[in-house]
Amino acid sequence: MVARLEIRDLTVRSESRQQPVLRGVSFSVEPGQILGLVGESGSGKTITGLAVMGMLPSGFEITGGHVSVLGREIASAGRPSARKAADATMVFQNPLGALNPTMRIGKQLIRVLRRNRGLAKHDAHDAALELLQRVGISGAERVLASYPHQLSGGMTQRVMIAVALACDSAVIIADEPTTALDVTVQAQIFDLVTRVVAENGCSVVLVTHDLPAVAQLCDRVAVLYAGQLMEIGDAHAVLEQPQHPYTRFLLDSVTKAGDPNVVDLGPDWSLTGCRYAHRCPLVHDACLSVPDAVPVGPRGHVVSCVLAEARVV
Amino acid sequence: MSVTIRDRIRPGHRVGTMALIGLVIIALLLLLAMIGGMVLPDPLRTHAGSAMQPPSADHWLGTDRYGRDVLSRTVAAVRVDLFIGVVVALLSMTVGSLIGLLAGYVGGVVDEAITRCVDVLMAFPSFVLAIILVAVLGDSVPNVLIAVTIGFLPYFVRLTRVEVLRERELDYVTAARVVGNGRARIALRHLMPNVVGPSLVQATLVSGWAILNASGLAFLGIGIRPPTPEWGVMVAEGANDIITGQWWTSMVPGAMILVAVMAFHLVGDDLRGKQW
Repeated sequence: MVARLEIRDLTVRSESRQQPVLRGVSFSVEPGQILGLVGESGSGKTITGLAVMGMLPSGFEITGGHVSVLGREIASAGRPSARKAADATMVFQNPLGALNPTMRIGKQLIRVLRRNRGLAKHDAHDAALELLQRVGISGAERVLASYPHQLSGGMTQRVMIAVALACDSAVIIADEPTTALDVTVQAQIFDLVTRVVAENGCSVVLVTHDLPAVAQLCDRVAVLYAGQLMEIGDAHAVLEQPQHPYTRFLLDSVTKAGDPNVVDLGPDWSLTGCRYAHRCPLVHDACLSVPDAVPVGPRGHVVSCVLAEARVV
Repeated sequence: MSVTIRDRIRPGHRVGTMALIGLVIIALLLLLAMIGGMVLPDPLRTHAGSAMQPPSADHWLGTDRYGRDVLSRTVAAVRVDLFIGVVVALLSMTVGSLIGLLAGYVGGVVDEAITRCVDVLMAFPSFVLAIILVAVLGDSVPNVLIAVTIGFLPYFVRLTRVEVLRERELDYVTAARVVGNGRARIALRHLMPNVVGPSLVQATLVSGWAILNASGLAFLGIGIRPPTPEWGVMVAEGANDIITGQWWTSMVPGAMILVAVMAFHLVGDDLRGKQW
């Protein structure tokens, strides 16, 4: 089976840091699957999403690897992005900021529908209404006539999801879609994402800090640290039997919030070997070289750690 | 935390007292121009017998050295001068904003080239620049409009460029690209409406300056020529009469320049004080 989204050895360099901010990241997402991409702030989660979109900020460039959707390459080193709206779209962290403040919701949504589905104006209007109802907005007609600032945060995020759906993309990257929302709304948005995936069979990459949400929603989990993929596997396998020292640390930090023993050192970007080496309790000489991805369990459970190679974890 | 849209668009924002005064003055001027054309004597008709008469019941603001009615000339000039002000403001805003949008959004060499050109333009006072341009382009009313417009372009280019640089980093611009909009469309349909606010404010101020510059040029004998009723022309014609005590031929149009420029600036100043 062709994976919907396939990322192979993706490496992204930052001009200002002179370091790869993503180093050989590989993962794939099957149709109808949700992959949770977790890791602390600055670990490269958003950069991964933007690299797929072909929208890396200036100063960042892909220097290795490639991204493909449905077997078609859309991003690779030194080539302009070949992504189309039908390949992949993104839902942003701050929904209010992601809508044009001077344009009514209807105009923004209808425009996307007309462009990507080639609908006539009237049909696009009906399609927009139907989409808004699908994402759980009541009074869709009123919302179409509203400006973004007239809607609540949860409402605007629903609209953004509707915009993403309007593109009929194979892949949707949701970059912390609930961070700017309050808790009850978060749950609703997560429900909506699950429902959308079930209905459309698209692939979703859910970038998030919310580990409980990952446990609930995601089929698979990928753990990033300092631009290096630490561990990837089925959600329950990774969360219940983490194989990588960093994954364990990350999971422990949830329960140990406020514990003075948990010190935040922050990543050391200059490390040429394993980027977690300076914080790892199990660090050892072999950690000076870049660890290979080692299969440690069934169904693509992979860990990048020299200890896993030696089967001592 | 970044500035949210709620902070930027204030529902029911109030127009200040000063701006209101400015608007009322502009409205009165327009009204005067409309009524004046119908009831006042022909501003071009000379009458040698009644030259240089002081204000009287027949000629409320006196007559000039050719016996033309100063009131009707001053009122007729409203049309000419406000037209210049508005046309120059609209032209320089439209052209300047588009150039600024190009510079800010395309960036790189294009931005560098445009910014340097603007720097060169800004090195000259707009009035001096207008004189040079008219000398080069040729002395005619359209050329004066173009010359004055070019003098004000740099303000709009810079203003829009900076706004675009700030605005283009916002999520909605990225989001617009994500869903498949082209660059030209993003620039014109998404960025332009969001960066045009400050330029509109600048345009009201420029309307005032444009009147000042155009009548200044006319005073120097460039562009608009006698006998066209225009304030700068009238001030120039009447300047010598002040010495001999006939103040009305130049003071009245002079005062009108003051009032009109002030009215536009009152509006512009008030708008500038608002958050955009």
